[in-house]
This record gives sequence, C-alpha cells and structure tokens, in this order.
Amino acid sequence: MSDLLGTQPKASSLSDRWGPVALYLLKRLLSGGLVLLAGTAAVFFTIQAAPGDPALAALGEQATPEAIAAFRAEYGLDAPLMAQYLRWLLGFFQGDLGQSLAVARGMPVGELVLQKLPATVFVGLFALFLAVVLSLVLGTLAALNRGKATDTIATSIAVFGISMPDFWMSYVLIFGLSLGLGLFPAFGYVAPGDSLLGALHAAFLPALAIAAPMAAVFARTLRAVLIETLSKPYVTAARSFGLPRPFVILHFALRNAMVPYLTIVGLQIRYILGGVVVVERIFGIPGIGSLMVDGAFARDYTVLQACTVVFLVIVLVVNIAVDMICALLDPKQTVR
Amino acid sequence: MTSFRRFMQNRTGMVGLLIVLIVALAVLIGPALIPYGPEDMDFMAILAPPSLAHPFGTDSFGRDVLSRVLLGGRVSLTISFAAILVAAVLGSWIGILSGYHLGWTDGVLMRIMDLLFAFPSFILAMLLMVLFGFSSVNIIAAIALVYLPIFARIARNTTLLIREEPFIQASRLMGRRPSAIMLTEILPNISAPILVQASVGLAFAIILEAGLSFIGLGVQPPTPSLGGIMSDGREYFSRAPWVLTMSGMAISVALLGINLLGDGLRDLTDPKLRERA
Amino acid sequence: MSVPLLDIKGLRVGFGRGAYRKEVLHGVDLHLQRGETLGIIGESGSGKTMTGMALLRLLPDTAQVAQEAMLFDGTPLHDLDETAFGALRGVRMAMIFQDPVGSFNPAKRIGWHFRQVMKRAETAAGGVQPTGDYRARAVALMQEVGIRRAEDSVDLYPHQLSGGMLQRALIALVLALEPDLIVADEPTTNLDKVVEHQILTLFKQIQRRLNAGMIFVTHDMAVAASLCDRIAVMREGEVLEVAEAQRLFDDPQHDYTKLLIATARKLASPAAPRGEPGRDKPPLMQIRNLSLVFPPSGPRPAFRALDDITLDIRQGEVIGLVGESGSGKTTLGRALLRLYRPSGGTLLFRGEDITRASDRALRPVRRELQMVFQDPGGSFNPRKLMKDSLAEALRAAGVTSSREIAARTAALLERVQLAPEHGERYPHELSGGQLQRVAIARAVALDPALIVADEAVSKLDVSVRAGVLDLFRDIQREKQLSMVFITHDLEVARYMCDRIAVLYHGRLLELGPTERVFDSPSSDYTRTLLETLDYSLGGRNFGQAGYGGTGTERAHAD
Repeated sequence: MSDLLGTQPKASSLSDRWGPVALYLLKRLLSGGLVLLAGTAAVFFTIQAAPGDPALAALGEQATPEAIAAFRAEYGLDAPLMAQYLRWLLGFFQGDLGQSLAVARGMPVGELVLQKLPATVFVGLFALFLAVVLSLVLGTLAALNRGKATDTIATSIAVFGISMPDFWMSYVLIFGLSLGLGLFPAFGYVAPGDSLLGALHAAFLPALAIAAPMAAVFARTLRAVLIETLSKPYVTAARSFGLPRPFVILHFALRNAMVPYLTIVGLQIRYILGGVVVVERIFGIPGIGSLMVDGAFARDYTVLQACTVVFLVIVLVVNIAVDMICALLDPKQTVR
Repeated sequence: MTSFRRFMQNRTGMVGLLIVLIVALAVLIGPALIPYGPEDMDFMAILAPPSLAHPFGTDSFGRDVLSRVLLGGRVSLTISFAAILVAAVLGSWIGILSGYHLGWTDGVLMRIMDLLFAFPSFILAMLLMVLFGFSSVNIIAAIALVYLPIFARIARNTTLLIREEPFIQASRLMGRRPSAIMLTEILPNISAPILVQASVGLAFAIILEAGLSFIGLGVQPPTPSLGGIMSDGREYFSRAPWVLTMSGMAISVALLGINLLGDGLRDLTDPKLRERA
Repeated sequence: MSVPLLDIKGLRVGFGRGAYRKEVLHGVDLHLQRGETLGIIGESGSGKTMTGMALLRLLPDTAQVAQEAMLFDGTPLHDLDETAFGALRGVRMAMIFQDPVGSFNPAKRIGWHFRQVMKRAETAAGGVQPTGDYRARAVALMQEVGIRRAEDSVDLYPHQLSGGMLQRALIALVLALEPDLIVADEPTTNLDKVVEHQILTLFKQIQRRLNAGMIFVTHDMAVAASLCDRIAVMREGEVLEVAEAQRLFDDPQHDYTKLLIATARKLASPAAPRGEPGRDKPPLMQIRNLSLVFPPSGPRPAFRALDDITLDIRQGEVIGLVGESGSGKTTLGRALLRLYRPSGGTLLFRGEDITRASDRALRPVRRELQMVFQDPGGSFNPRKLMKDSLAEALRAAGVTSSREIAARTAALLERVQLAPEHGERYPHELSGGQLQRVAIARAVALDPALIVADEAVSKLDVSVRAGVLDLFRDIQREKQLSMVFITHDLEVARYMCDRIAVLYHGRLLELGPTERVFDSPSSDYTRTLLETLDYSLGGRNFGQAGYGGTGTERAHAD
C-alpha cells in the first residue's frame, strides 16, 4: 500500500552510508569488548580450576614448601582469585601480561608477545591472501562451468585440498618444492622489515601449507554461493536485457556472492590460526604459535594465558573487519 | 528408503562410503591380520623401506609402520568419532532449545556458544589438553567442546527456519507439549543438516586430533596415533620418508572418504539439487 | 497483415537425458502480430513460463530446445548464433518477470540499472555515440511510468522501493529499449489488487505507445480477458485452444477451458445471504482494543501490526478479514489463536480472558481454536504419513484406542472427499488441493469451535479452488462452527463470508454484513478495493472494455 500512501525513503549518497557503518562498527567493537572480557575471565578461571600447580610445574616436584611459598608470593599467586584476575585484567589493559614462569623465567610476557607477534601476523596474512586468491579462481571457474570437466577438476582439487591437514601439507611442500626442486627454504624465517622479498620467499611454503586446505574450503563455499546467485532472478533479468555475460557474472553474480563468501572466510579464521601453531613449529617461525607450544610444554601458565588471549583478540579483530566489509558491501545493512 | 536409493545413485557419495567402509574395516580387523604387533621391535630391520614383508616400511625401532598406522588409525578415528557424537548430540539439544524457546534461554545459551566460538579451535583444544591432561577422555572432551558451538548454531538456525512453519504451528494449536514438539516435529526435520555437519566435523576432528598428537599434546606414546606416528617420522624424514609419508597418506585417505561421503549427503539433503532430480 | 511479428511452430523443451529426459513443452504453436497482446493462460506446470523463456533463450543450459520454426519479424531465430541473437534480446525483445523485487541487483541503485541497460542498448544498436545523460533519461522514463519523486528514486536501492514501484521501474527499463516484442511473465501476481490494476493499465498504455507485440503470461482469467486480444490456454505443455478473448469466454471449445471459466464464474457470483448467524447468541470471541507491536530486530524498527482492534466473532458465522499485504489480517488471525501474544487490549474466548494466558494454561483451550494455513506444502510434517498426522490430531483430542483412531481417520478422509489410500502417502505425494483437504480434516478432527483459514486457497490452482471453498462451507454449516476467513481476494470473501472486516495498516476500517460492505462501503479505501472487482469476470469493465478498450486498434491476426 505504500504505493498509495507515497511513503518513500530519501535517497542516500555514499557519504550517508558511513554514518550507519560507523554506528555498526561501534556496536561491534562494544560487543567484541564484552566477548574479550568474558573470554579473558573464562581463560583465567579455567586455568585456575585446572589440576596442577604452576609453582610445582615451574620449580619441579622436589621443591621445598618454602621455595613454593616464595615463588607464589613473587608472582602474586597467593592473593584471592578474584583479586588476581582483576590485577591481571588491569595489567592487560596497560599492556602488562605478567611475567613468564618458565619459558623465559622472569621476562615480561608482553615483551615476549610483541617479539613474536609480527611473524605470526605476517605469515597469517600471507596465508589468508593466498587462500583468498586461490579460492576465487578455483571457485569461480567451477561455478561457471558447472557439471563440465573444469568443474570436476576444480572440485576434485578442492576435495583433495580439504583432505590434506596443514602439517602433512607442509611436508609434501618441503619434499617437493624445497628438497626436490630447491625453490624455497625448508626452514627459517626472514622478517619483512629486513627484506620484504626475502620474507615472502621464506614464508611462501608455510603460508601455502596453511592456505591450501583453507583455499579448498573457501573455493567450495564460493562455488556453492555463486551457483546460487547465478540462478537468481536478477541474473535472468540482466540477461534478458542483453547485458554481456562477463558483466553479468562480475556485477550481478560475483558481487552478490561476496557477502556470504566473506562471512565464511571470517568464520574460518578459527582454523587458520590453528594451522599457524603447527606450521610455525615445523618451519621454525618465531611466532606466537611457537611461543604457546613452548609455554604448553613448560607449563608456563602466564605465557599460555597471554597467547590464548592474543589469539582471541586476533579472531575478534578479523571478524569485526570482515563484518565491516560486509556492511559496506550490503546496502540492506546500511541503508534503510 | 527412497532417500537411500537416491544416495545409491550419487557417485561421489558412494565412492566416499566405500572408502569409509574400507578404512573402518581396515582399522577394526586389520591389526589382527598382520603378523607383527605395533610394539614388536625388529632390530634387524630398523628404518627398512617398504617391502613385501613391511608394506609401509619400519620405523627407528624396527616396528612395522602399517601395523602402527592401522592401530593408530583406530585410536584416532575412535576419539574423533566419539567427540563429534558428543558435540552433535549436545549441540543439537542446545540449539533446538534455543531456537524454539528464544527469549532469555536463547540469549544465555547462545552467548556461551559465541564465547566458545571466539577461540581458535586448535588453541582452545591445546589449552584444555595442557590444563587437564592427555587422557583419551580429555581429548574427546576438548574436541567436543570446540565443535559444540557449531552444532548448536546449525541446530538453532534450522530450528528458527522451521519453527514458524505451519506444521509446527499446527502442533502447538493441538496443545502438545514443547518437549514433544521439539522431539517429534523439529528434530527429524533438522537432522539432515546436522548429519552433513557431522561428516564435515568428523574430518576436522581427525585433523585436530592428529595436529594435537603431532605436536605432542594429544595421544601420548607408546599408544600409537596417526599424528604421533607422523611426528616420529619427521625426525628421520630425509633418511626414511616412508614413515611420515605412509601415515600422512593414511590420514588423507580417511579424510577423502569422509569428505566425499559428506558431499554425497549434502547433495542428498540440498532441496535445490533434489528439485533437479 | 504482412509478416507476423512472431511465429512459433512445434516448440519443444525438455530437461535431462536418456531415461531421465522429461519433456515439458510438447510442440507449441503460437503467433503474434505487431500491436497485438496474446495472453497465455495456464496453471502451475502448464509450461506457460517456459514458452517465453525459450523464446528469449533464457532457459538454463540443461534445457534442450527444439522447434520446427521460430520466426521473429521474418528472421528465423533458431539459425542465429549467440552474437546475432544478442543483437535482438534486450534491443528488440524484452521480458518482464513475476518477481520485480528479485529482478533488480540488490547491491546496486536503480539508476545504475538504467545506465547499464541504456549503454548496452546503444552499443548494440551501433554507431550512436553514448549520450552520457543516462540519469536524466532514467528520471524522465520513471516519471512516465508514474514513479513519484523520480529524481530521488533513481538513487535508491531496490530494497527501499515497494514491489509495485519496482515493477514500474522494470517497465520503465523496458520502455527505454523501445522493443518490438514484450514478454510479460505473471508481472502482477505478487502485487496487491489495487496496484495490479494500476500496473495493468500502464502495460496497456506502454504497449499502445510502442505498438509492440506483447505476450502476457498469467493464471488469472479475468486479467487475461481484460488485457489481451487473443488468449491461448495451456495445460501440461500443450496449447489446448487459442481464440479471441471475447470468443473464448462466450464459446469455449475445450473442456478444460470450460472448467476454468465455470470456476471463475462461480466465484464471481455472490452467494445467497443467510442473515447474520449467531447474532442473538453470546459471541464466541470478543476482541477489545487489541494491539500488537513487533519489537525491533536488526535493522528493522519496531512495527505496530495491530492497532486498537475491536470485534466480536459470533457463534456459527463466517467472518472475512480482508485487506492487502501489510494490513495485519494474518497477524490478527494468529493473535486470535494466541500464536502471538498481544501487546494491549483483551481477548475473551467464551468470556474467559486469554490475552496473556501462558502456553501451559492455554493448552486445554488450544484444541478448540484451529487453523488452516496458506501453504499446503508446509502444513504437514514432511516425514509423516498423512494418516499419522491425522492420528496425532485425534490423539490430541483425547482419542486413545488405536482401532478408533484408524476408524476415525478413514471417516475424516472420506468426509473431505479423499480415498483411504491418500492416508498412506507423504505430503509431497499429494497435490495442493488434496493437502488442503487433509488440513481441513485435521482441524475438524479436534472438534474445534473456531477455525481460522489464512489465505487457504490462494496458493491453489484456480480449477480446484471452488471445490476446497465449498468443502469449507459445508463443514462449517455441518459442525456449526465459527470461521475466520482471511483473504486478499474479494471474490472469495464475498463467496464465503457472512460478515466482512476490512483491515488497513493494522486498523479495522470497516465491519458489516457482506452485502452491505459490497453494496455501500463506508470508507474510501474499501471503495478503492472494490473498484478492482469491476475488472473481474462479470464486472462492469470486464473484457474488452477493460484497461482502456482495445477494440478499435486491435490488429486482426487471422
């Protein structure tokens, strides 16, 4: 009935859209902050609830009661739980993540994390980039040639891809491209600050090992979403108006497939980061993943806690970024 | 039975089912057929390459790799399967409850799920393993906890999709209890996507378990597991690549079977594809 | 006349291969002159949509199209390769679809669509330098098709416009092409009646202006009669008969055509009034100042769906809730059954306040309040046999012995004119009409005092509608139950109801005996609604008088 009533919304220019997006960002940041708060509390209290004593773990089973008491006092482990948590939280917001109990005993964990973070972020972003590029090519090719040989080949590659865990993929790559062809180093890390090209060269195999299974997942998602958008009435309508096929594919099908595709990419970040841990270990990359494994073996609870929280923050940041891109791409979210 | 017949016509699904059956059969009765136990050491054949006697070669203790892979596969598959079963049952229950009742039930349950979902899966599992110890039950619990929110979300979303369907409303109008409606009307109609997710989840659970065992935070030696064998193998990777390669291939074959089976199930339950047939 | 604009002979369309091959069009012959409108009428599965899609080569790759001849303005279309065909499609031939909302790219503004279509048409025509001033031309075209504030609308996204406005915009896009042939596929089916009327008028004007040939696909006899010069009746992939519109209605040849027309005539004639049943008895349900507000969710703001509704439902009467989409009629029906919790006012059932009763407290009352839904396919658990769904209802009504359940199930199926073997089937194995019959049986099984029927026949094919409506009416009389009949179709309302309540934007505009509301409506809105009836079968403007009279300019085909 709005036809009769003439209630029609005002047109909006692009600059108008930043308002709702900014508001949405604020809302997402707030809810992200709440998740972070709840997450840190969950991690902290789970660690406390776990059997095993950090002091015993750090000092060994033969430690004297006096030594243990001294250790506890030194690291503030003798205060009530809630007080410990609040102090930890306060420190966290000031960048103080406590002191390492075992991995680098006495060293501020914040410093450790800052040392290791760039490598993880670099390799992770590189892997994400490779996964997105590979999946865009593979998924689009498969969807456009649905049921044909190209589709069969692309979907087969994807199925084999998701059947290769990243740590196993790492060795296949090392065996083929490093030991076999000698194209890339099998071990080691170059900081991008020292030499960007060198860093990319050194990080190519680990990034590809992480990216390959993810690319397969993304490609399968894109294929499914693209097949769906290709069957939408607006694609038929666009064809009926004689718009050229590449134009229709790009501006109608792919354009509208991007939001669901990116949503899946955002969700998969949970798994990508898992791959980072193992692959860092295999390729000897000095990242947060390696640090966390060291902390796990040394039962260094401060390091474990800090690394878990850092990973939580990474997930939240990536998810908020993806949500923002989706909000900008989808006028329904930002224009009423 | 019509669903089953349709599945029989799905080539992808049938190949997957075949591989899964072969893998299951191999890990269940395979170890009994092999003359070597997984712990039998043969110091005459240390790091022996694949041969008729040892199709997958031997490791640094002269243990038969095939025998270890089969037994390790049994351990890994059992743990993964149990974990997914727990996650699927518990997650569906939480999801249906959330999606049907909405309101604060939904709010509380889903916020908890969101929190679990915010942690990277591997990190969460690793942390839990370190804190609570490496027993099989703990591995199962850790993996189940990682997958719980996924099942809960899927169950909730599909419940939301059908809760306004006329047949659910009709049931309400008959004055039936919510628990009865959830069990007889909702559950059967959301089981398909959950089953599909379970097959995907099983593949990821195997990867997760293998990854944990690979870095040494999962199944502990001497119990063999696929990840553990791979981890052994990488130490002498250049000298005896078969230990790592064979165990890696074993994982891939199992995953391939499960993924193909999952694709087949998905084709079967996707209403769009069904219309085409 | 000379060469027909379009001449199709022996058009066949099939899907699948080998043993799985299924033919959906079995040799269709049609022809069309310039300036002529050919209606294609048929029910679901008749292949009427397929014909237009095949003509414009819009079918998916899996379709196999074959024909003896397909001539457009003398050019054999089937000989053209994709490039040559591309020079016709979107230039000389255009199509308008059923779903105007879905026809636009949701990520792009309206003006973007105009720019792309105009640019491409200019390139295809060749030679012409792009004018560049697409925006001004788009605004002019949009004004021409009656879009208000076209300067603003051109910068809006599709989701910001109503279905009617988008259909106008789509017509404006076609107008930009100035095509020789327009294929319109149920272009008004998803629109409200008043809007439909406006759009149909627009169609006629545009076609007249362009002197284009038009193929108009529809399931609605009245629309076809008022808009088209000739009508082709299709069923199961075959053209049963083609005749001039007037002749088709005066002297239908095929039995199926006769059935369609008889059904439409039956619904068009008002039923004999039977007074006002239940007038002197205490009302079954009293609705006082009822309001319902849906809370905001996501980007959607809070929405007042029902606003201060006061109404009695009398014992043994059929009351119609009439209104267009968004009027709140369905919401009111569901609120009566307490599927929604009202935000304000009171709801008395047999004098008992159930406005805020909890689900648990409602359970004993529920049985007496039943519903028949719009979507027959979704009304049953897809994993249950029909007889199990009926048995479930009987069990809820307190029948326990399995022998009695079996006997009552059989009796219920018989009562709704179905055979016992229908009980042994799954929902997807029954037709819409059959499902709706079982849905009535299920509602009756609980021995209710009130049945709310929500658009219960709007998804059914025309030929089975009357049968289901008659069943509703018979059962209502037999059981002396009250019925709330929710419909957007005024003919259905007049055919079924003792009293009519007209809803508009969640408010009750008008309430009275059916005759009175139809003969002397008290609100302007009701009058506007009723005017659309003039174009229906037997209406004042039915047939060639409709939509501006086509008689004089009609190009004779034969």
